[in-house]
Amino acid sequence: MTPRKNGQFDRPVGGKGTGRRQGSGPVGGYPPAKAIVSGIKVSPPLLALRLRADRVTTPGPVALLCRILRDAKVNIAYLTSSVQKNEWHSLCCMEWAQRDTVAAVLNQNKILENIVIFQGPVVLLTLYPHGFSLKMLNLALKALIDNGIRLHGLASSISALTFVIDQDCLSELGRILSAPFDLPGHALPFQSDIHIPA
Amino acid sequence: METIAVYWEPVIRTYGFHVQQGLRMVQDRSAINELPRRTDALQMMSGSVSAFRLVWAQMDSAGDIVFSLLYDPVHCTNEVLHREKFQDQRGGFAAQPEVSVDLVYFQGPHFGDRYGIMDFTFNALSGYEAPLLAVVCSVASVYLVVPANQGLKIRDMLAGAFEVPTTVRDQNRGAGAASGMHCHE
Repeated sequence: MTPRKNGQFDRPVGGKGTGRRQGSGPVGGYPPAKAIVSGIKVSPPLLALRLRADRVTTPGPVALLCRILRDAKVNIAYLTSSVQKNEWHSLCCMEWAQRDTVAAVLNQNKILENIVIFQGPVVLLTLYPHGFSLKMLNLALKALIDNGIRLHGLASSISALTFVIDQDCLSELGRILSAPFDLPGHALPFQSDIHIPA
Repeated sequence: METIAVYWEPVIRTYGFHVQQGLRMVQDRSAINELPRRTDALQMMSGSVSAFRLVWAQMDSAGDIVFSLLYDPVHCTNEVLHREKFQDQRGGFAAQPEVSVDLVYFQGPHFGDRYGIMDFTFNALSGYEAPLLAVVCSVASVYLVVPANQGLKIRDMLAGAFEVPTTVRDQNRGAGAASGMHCHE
């Protein structure tokens, strides 16, 4: 990419809307097209709770978890919870700094203490806009998984795709994501000591 | 000295509730390393269609990842997202039968930074007899996946508990029970 005077970068040839197939390799000497990401956000470190409730067809244990977290004034930064084959599987993330509080209140609950697993620290990597595009989802998944990034979960929202990943991979994210994506030129680095390669 | 502000209100304000009816839910379980290949199959099947309305995935107890996707059949052609094709080409995609679902979602002020939103939501639905199929909270949005034809009922229950902007409520008064692919209150 070529830096401009205003700090932005020219889009690579064959970007969004050119109709070229993603990942098809160089064509006519041009570099492969990249999908355009307008924004990236990485959350502060988070505690991840995995919850599995057997033989339950209602979100009762998840609702109980939400009640306990509310009573402890703990914000849920991310939650996915769904039933599959009569098991409820949930992934719930909250501030890492509140892990002692969360552990204390959950250990007092007879129902939850045996079905909740503590993990982390993790971070939420959010890319936007997704444009309801399976292509963007697929590119991100390939980039993360093929580079050995541990993926705990993912979820879409109105315009963003969020991936729950281990915090210790942050230093690699710039390099990994810059391969399939045309990252925003004005983006700040994920950490002060890493940079998105041009 | 650092000051931490905590935002709380007894009746939680929203920007209104959205309902998308008649969606289809695909669920698949695979090893984590297989997930890109599975979504690659989905992408190939959907062609240029912007197919999904909601996606989420999470690990299960066996260490596999369970991937779920909602799509709108209105946007699908004969070659898009048919379970039979996935089974033929990928040997077992859509391990669970597809089901028809409704999607209810909403946002509100500072939803990403406040505690108690989901507890308030579950309380609002405490009298709901049909099961929720999934709950997804990401960024500042809350999504509820419910069985088909339950979306409007869920929306009305939520709208009765949360605060809905007056302008939105007035615009939709009298049309709240109308059927359609996308309703808002």
